[in-house]
Amino acid sequence: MNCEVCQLKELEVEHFEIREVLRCILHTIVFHRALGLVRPKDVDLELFDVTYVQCGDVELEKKIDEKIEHFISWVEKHPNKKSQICLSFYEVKNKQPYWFTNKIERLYWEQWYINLNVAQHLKAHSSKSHNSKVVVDPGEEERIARRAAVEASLREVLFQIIKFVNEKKDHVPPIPNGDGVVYFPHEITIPSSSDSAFGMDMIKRMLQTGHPTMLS
Amino acid sequence: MDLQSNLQPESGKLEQIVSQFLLKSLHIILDSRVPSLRPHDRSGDLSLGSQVRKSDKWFNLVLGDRPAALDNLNFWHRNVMDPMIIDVILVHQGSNSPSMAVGGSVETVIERWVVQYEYPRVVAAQPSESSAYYKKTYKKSIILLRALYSQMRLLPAYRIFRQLSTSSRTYNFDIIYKVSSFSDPFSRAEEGMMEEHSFPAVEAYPGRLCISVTYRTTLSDFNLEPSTSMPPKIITDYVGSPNTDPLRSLPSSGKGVSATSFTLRGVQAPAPVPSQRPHSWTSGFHRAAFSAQNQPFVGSPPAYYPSPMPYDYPSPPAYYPSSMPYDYPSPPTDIHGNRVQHYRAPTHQKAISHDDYQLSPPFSPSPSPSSPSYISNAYPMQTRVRSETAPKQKD
Repeated sequence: MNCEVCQLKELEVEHFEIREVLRCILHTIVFHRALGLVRPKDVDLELFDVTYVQCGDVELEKKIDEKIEHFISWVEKHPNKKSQICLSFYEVKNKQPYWFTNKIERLYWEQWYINLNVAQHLKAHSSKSHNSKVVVDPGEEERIARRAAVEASLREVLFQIIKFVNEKKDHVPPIPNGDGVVYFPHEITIPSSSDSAFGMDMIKRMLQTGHPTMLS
Repeated sequence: MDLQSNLQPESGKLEQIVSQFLLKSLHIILDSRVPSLRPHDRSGDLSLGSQVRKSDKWFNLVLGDRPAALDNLNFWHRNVMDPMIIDVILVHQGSNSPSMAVGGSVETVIERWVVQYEYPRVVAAQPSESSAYYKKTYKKSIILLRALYSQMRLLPAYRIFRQLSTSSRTYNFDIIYKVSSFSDPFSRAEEGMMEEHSFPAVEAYPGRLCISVTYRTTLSDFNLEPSTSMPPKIITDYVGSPNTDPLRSLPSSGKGVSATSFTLRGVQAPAPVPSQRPHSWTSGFHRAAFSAQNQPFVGSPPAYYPSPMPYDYPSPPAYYPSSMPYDYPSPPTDIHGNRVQHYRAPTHQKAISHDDYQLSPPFSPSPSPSSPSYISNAYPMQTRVRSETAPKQKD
């Protein structure tokens, strides 16, 4: 089984926009991958004129919100960095207990990379000084234009998601049985505190997406 | 080996999937565009209240009670091979009529959805394991319908739908719909203002399930605003009350039924002409204009749809609904009946700015021509929607 990877278009967001943007994107992806019985829930963003769809599962919402909070803390410690959040779907395979212990292996079949560039604007400074180089009020206009640009990019990302889920369907495993909202097992990975560890995580994951017979 | 006999046990499954797919798509589209249909619980919580009807579990997407309009589908839909064309129509004031003038209302198709089971000209080899194959087809259809649901919230028409359905004030426009198995092609001018998007098809041997949409990229040219003043009560007789609201001046109907959204004609069913369009219906009204179109089918709605479905999924896996759970209702005598007019007490008027929905979709800008290889010559009665194949072209 191959692992399909989708690199979403990079979004330039401000700090206060992260939460909404990530919620929107993560829920949208999961909605198209939670193929069990779902009563869709429409959610309107506050900062943007966008409506996305959730599966309406409280547990999932909590899990996603938690991850977003972790991410936000990470961003605060690493300002002005480009960052990636990875949402991966996997299948759980039990390895045969030959001479290894019964190890559970994850076989990743799909990975989504959400690329964010968090801008740290020096708004606070500019509004206070009156003779600084920066224009006092960068202008409502500029803010509005920027907001519109982010909104347009966000819509593009959502279209990108819809396109991807439709174009590649063959690799999706059979739907697991279960009551209520059923999800494929998935995990959300945010960059860890050290960049290099994050990189290692990615590499490890890539190795795991190989053949089931490959011993890692 | 006879293809037919091989397909036999599975053709029931296919027909069920296809017909349910059509129903579900219609449900999604109407639910997301037509405010007058009964709203349902959008909270998203499965555990909330009402049990989920079996019929609603198809494709694992619970939408709530189906609008009564969907029941019409069983009668007009002659066979599952017909395309189902859903027009989302904006009823608005004509552009040359200032708000106080006596103006007729104008209808513009702002979205045209085509949902269809496309039958190929050449049938490919049958998949070896048809049961597993149709499970995959079902799974892929689930994904496609999810995508349809999401996409409906991203297109320009969604915003005005939300205005109509959530706001407590009245507007000078309305959204209605028309479902048909054929339609007039768009004029060149109209086409110039629209974009097309096709979802990747789902293989459903021997054919495939397709959804596509042609939509207006911007709605800002329409003067869509809250109405100045509207009487809060329901008006059943509007002809003799010119002093209530100049906005509501309507064409004196020489036709049997007047077609605007401001009336409550639906309450007292006007002289129904149910047989005029056996293969389409529309919300709220009939107009003489509609009947003037060529209709390949005449007569009363043929009840071709078998009832009940003789096929059933044998011991379905957990994610299959297990049977055809709903009954086929008797033919509706009043095709009009579906729209419920609502008048709300006007509140403070607030300027609504309509942003320009210049959507330049990042998805493939050059839509594939309407799968010409899939237009089967075996169905000459089907009029294609796309203008390049339409028999008559406006200017």
